[in-house]
Order: sequence, then C-alpha cells, then structure tokens
Amino acid sequence: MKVLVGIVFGVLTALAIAAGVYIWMEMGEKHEDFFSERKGLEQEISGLKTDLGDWNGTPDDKASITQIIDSLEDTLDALEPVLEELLSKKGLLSEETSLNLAEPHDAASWRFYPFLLEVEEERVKVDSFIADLYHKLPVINLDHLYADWKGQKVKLTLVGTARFPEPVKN
Amino acid sequence: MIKVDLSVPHSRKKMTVGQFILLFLGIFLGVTLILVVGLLLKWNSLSNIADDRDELKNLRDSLSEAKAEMISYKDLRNHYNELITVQTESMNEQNNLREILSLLYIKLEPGMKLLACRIDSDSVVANCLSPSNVKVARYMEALSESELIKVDRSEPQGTRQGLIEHRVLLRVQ
Repeated sequence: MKVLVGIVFGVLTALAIAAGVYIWMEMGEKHEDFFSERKGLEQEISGLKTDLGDWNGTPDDKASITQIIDSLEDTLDALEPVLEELLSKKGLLSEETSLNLAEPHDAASWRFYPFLLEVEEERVKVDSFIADLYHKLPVINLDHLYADWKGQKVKLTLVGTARFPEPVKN
Repeated sequence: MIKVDLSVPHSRKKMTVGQFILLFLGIFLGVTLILVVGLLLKWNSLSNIADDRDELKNLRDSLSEAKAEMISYKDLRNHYNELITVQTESMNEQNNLREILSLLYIKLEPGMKLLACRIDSDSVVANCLSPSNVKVARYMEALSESELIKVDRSEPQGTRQGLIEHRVLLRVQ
C-alpha cells in the first residue's frame, strides 16, 4: 500500500515539476520575444525622435498656406486651357500677334508650354503688352527677347515658356 | 558468570499509511507551492515587460503620426515655396526686362538710334547707330550707372546711313 502511495505521489510530484518547468520555459521564450520587441521599439522611437528634431506640431500657417496654394492652382488651372487665346490676344496692340505654341512637356511637377510670340507696335504699347502678359500669366519664363526698331515701331520677339503645376497623377 | 546486556531496546514504530500519505502530500504541496510562486514571479516580470512594450508601442504610434504630419507640412511648404519662387522670379524677370528695354532707349545720346537688341537671362546685345564714338562711350557710361546691367564692351560694325554702327555688349547683373 505504502509503495503504491509512494509511486502515485512520486508521479504526481514529477508531473508538477515537469509542468512547472515547461511553463517556465514557455514564459522564458515569451520574455525573450517581448524583450527583443521592446529593444526594437526603443530603436525605432529613437530614430523617430531624431527625425522629428525640434518639430513642435503643425505650425499655425498651414491653413493659410493651403488656401494660397489652392487659390493659385485654381487660377493657373483655369488659365491653362485658354493659354493660346491669352498669348495671342492683342489687347492694346493695334495689330494681331503671331504665336507659335509648341506641345507641352512635363518636368519636375510642372507642365511647360514653349512659345514664340511676335508683336509689332510702338515702344510704349509693347512695354504695356509685356506687363499685361506677365499679369495674365503669372508664371511665364522668357528665354530671350529680341527687339528690332523700325522707325517708331518695335518688332518684338519673345521666346519663352508658360508653366503650370502638373496635375496629380492618381 | 553473569552476562549483562547493555543494549537499549528500540521499539521500531512503523509509519501508518495515513502518515505516509500525509508525508507525500506535504512534499507534493511544498513542491507545487514553490513552483507556483516561481511562476507567479516570472509572470509578473513578463507582465511588466508587456506593459512597457505597450507603452512604447503607443509612443511609437504617436511619434509616427507626428512624423507623417511633419512630412505632410514640409511637402506643403516646399510646394508653396516653389510656387511663390517661380511667381516671384517671373515678376522680377518682367521688371528687369522692361527696365533694360527702357534703359536702352532712354539713355541714348542725341543723334543716336537703337536698331535692335537681344536680351537673354545673363546678357544683352544692343545694336545702335551713333554720330560719333564719343556718344557711344557716353551711352555706355550712362548705361553702366544702372545696377541692373554692367557694360562689357562695344564693337564698331562699320557705317550705316552716315552713322557709325556699334554693337554694345552688356551683362545682366
């Protein structure tokens, strides 16, 4: 009887020890996982803190900047389809302008429209024409200007590009 | 002969089955208690690390959000700066062009005529007719007073309409 009791309790104790050791080892593995995960997180946080530097939240001017950009882009978007019309508009000039508008090309988030524009008029009117051109198209860039004086009149050749923000590709 | 037995008689008490069960139950419970305490301590340490990890995860998430906000703002700011720079450059270019054109015309000496000019981003070439080389020199001196252009040189091109044709080379500052 005693032998039987000894065997039963011996087996029970061994089972309890085995279960304890098994659970301990399982916890140990989990501990290792958590530990390495925590280490990884600490490194990630340190990197993020470095990236953020002295960033103190979004500055107050975000709304006003967004508004300015939207307004300017809306203006330019509206101008792009009527570019040819705007460039060839004679305005104060007494004679028609001669326009050569090339196919647009995209580069660095802008769409460029190269053009060659010729006008012939009195100097003062040509001056007004240039001012008006820049007023109508706020983002044009002239490569060169050639002026040829013919008596009171000036024959002006403008070679440049009109640029517009490239539409966002989805 | 007298024999004396000095040995102490021991009465060997045998453990009863009940005592035997109690002994083994005690050993079993003792071992189990030690194991449970050990496991609880380990569990506590594990919980602390898990809590730590959760806190770090929250911090990481909020920092990632802040970084995304920062990138978005910087992109917006760069876009804004680019648009404003392009617009400002365009406006400055227009002002410079008009001023150079005007200067070339109004600085002409009496008797001089402007025939043509070519204005690039960094240089200006003007062709003019002048009654004398002195007037061309004065014209160039007058032009050099402007902060916008710098006189390079003038090259006589022969005569035309009884006047000396000059090619005046200027640099845009």
